[in-house]
Amino acid sequence: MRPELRRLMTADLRGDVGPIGAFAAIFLVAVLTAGWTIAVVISIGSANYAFGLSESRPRVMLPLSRHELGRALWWKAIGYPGIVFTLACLLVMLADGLLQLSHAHASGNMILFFWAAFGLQAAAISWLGRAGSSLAVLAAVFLLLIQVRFWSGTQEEIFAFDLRVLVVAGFSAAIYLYFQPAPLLRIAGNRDRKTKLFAFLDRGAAARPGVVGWAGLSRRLALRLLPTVVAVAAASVFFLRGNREPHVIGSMLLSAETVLLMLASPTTFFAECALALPLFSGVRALRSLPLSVEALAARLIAVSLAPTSAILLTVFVCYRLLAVPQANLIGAAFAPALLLMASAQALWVPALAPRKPASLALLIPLAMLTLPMLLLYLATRPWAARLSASSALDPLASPAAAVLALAVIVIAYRATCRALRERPGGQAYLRKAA
Amino acid sequence: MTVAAIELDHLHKRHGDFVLGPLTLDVPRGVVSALIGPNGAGKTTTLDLLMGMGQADGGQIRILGRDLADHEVEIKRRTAYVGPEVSYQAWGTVGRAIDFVSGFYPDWDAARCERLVQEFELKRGEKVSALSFGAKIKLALVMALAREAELMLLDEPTTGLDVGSRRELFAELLAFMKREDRTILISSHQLTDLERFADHYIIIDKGRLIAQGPMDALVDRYQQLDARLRREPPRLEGLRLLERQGDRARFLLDREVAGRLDLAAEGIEVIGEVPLTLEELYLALVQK
Amino acid sequence: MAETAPKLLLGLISPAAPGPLYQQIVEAVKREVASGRLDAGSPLPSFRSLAEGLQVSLITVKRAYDELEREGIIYCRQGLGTFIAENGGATARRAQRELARDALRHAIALGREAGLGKKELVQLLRQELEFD
Repeated sequence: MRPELRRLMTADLRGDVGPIGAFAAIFLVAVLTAGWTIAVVISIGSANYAFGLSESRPRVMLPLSRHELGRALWWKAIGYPGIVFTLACLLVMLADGLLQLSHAHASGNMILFFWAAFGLQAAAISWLGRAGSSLAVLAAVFLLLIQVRFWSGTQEEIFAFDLRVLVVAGFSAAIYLYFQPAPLLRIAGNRDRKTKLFAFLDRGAAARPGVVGWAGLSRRLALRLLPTVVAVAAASVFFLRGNREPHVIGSMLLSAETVLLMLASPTTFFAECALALPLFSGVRALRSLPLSVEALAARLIAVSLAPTSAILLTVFVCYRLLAVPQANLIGAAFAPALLLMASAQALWVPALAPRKPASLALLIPLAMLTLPMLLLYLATRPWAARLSASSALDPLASPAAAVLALAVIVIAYRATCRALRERPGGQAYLRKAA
Repeated sequence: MTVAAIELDHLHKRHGDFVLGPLTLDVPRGVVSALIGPNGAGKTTTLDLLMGMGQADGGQIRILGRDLADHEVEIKRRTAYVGPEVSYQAWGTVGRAIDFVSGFYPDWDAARCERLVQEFELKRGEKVSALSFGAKIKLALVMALAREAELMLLDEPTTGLDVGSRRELFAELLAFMKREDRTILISSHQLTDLERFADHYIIIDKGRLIAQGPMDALVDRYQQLDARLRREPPRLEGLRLLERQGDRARFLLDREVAGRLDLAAEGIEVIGEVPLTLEELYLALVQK
Repeated sequence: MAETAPKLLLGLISPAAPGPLYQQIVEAVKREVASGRLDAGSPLPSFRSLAEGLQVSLITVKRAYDELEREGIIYCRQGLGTFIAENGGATARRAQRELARDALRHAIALGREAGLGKKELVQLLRQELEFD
């Protein structure tokens, strides 16, 4: 390996070890508390972050061939995250006592899954040509996995045939890209190619002149929320129809509760990223409008609450409609967590509002907030189960949860007001204060 | 005597290591005022505080006769701001950004807006993230000019603009000033432009006010002198030594403070007067 | 560039030309009045219009107008505007003549410095006039 290439790769590693390390830590906790799927999503998120960081112009100026540059990108996007997460996986399996020969097959599949995920991610992004659109890729990959899981036949292995095909495909992509890394360079260079997924929405919303001010913006956001809600409803239906018996590691993936969380958290995550968060890069623009700080804070909080609330409401409605036998228990378990999860989304508004977020650096605080929600869910589970067993209480009307959720929102609102008033916003101020 | 457009009274703010103020100055009404200073002098901080972005640690801000703390929204309805990192990227296209903003101002003139969009060669369907730097400033300018604002604040609008766009900017600003009661406060590094277009100058450095006054009084107030020294020049109030080579020296004389000095008596033999531009005055005043 | 009613053709007012901008405006107006292109009683544009037309600051125009008013070339009527004074032309021509006299005085001083006597100076002047 040439010294220049090695220097670039070391620089990349040093630059990225922080974020990937953070994600790995979150991954560990997530696996131990909520399950592998959440952990998988977080790991895909970290690969996304790695891509988001790659600056093509300074790289292209280096005295390295395209092949070498691509190779360095491979390590940045697949290699380093893959290794880090493999080690994390092994740690978890060791702790869980799964590192035995009888589970070798399953464990091996699990590790392969990460490499496959990173490989699929890289292949998809280099095809789409822009790191920012990978949110759509993530959503697509994730929903695809859910579909595959539903349509799979047996319960004996955690990975059915279809899923195995996906894993093989992803892993092959990862290996192929190692030897032919040139396509990876297409990332971050093309500004013109954009995701086709949301393009049709832009056309529709733009056609209305005269819808000005907040009304126009709200309408557009609501329109973008629609496909997410539809996707969540469809996924909920599929999963609830195919509810099965838990089994070993499969229990972590397939128990109804985890399914719900799995649906709600990442999808909310995506919805927030795509809809609410871009607005925060424009906070300085909003501050120059004739809006009082209170009005602006209220609107920002409302925008942050909208996606989660819509998604969770959809899931809950589907549960009710399908009259799933465990509905009451699940409802009881989830209602407090649902409300709190929704309100928790407001908590990162004061932290982010006056800042200008780099598009994907948000993944870290958001992923970190998924954790409290999960922990909250686990904390309220026994209490809620006890409640529903003892009485025919309608869980969504649980007063304590409602009060707590409201309190969280009010706290977030006041903190946002203070943050907007005190901080002028903009990247320059982040650097000055540092 | 009309009330000043902006009155700052002992305004101060601490920002990490940087301390702004105490700043006491008036921005006069009906004229173009230039806020000049080196990087890190506090220009952006001051302009941000005027728009309510950030909380001052102390002092009073009055804009258009009203206290900023009590009447922020009302003041903003009459104030336009063109500044850095005011990004409309989240709104997608130019047209949507304009539509959004127009909903907040009842005095929005849609016809004027359309005319300006065409004049600045912007397109409603163009994505904000794809706009060049100059085009982004022009977009902010369209939003500022399409309404009946009384006060316009511009924070370094000329950075990154090419020569033609700079001229267009100043042409639009002078057209804005055609009405009697309009005021502009502009901070810029393009001192040659400001010398030509601004009526009033305010120089700040390290968070403090160094000098202010009408632009034409510059010539009257400050003089650059080429002199021969007979002995060591004493430290005198209003006389600043700019450069020295042996017994020849260049001084900056503030006639308001030191106009009556007998320089010959102090051992300074004036050879001639060197004409002074705004840029040279600025450099002389903020030099270490 | 939008110019309202009274149109003024002053030529280019530029920082590249000698003298401060307001002085250039003063000289340009005096030229127009002296040559008769601007009659007595003709209206001049408002401060702001002229500032926009010439792309200079208000204060520059104001100073130019103040100077012109002081020399008696123009006068200002509250509410009505600014106009060329009755004797504006004569005053301007007188001012131009003074300028010419100053220039000649300066030329004589230069000539003296160069060591030319009175006869030689007159000869030079005649030569130049013939070329005209």
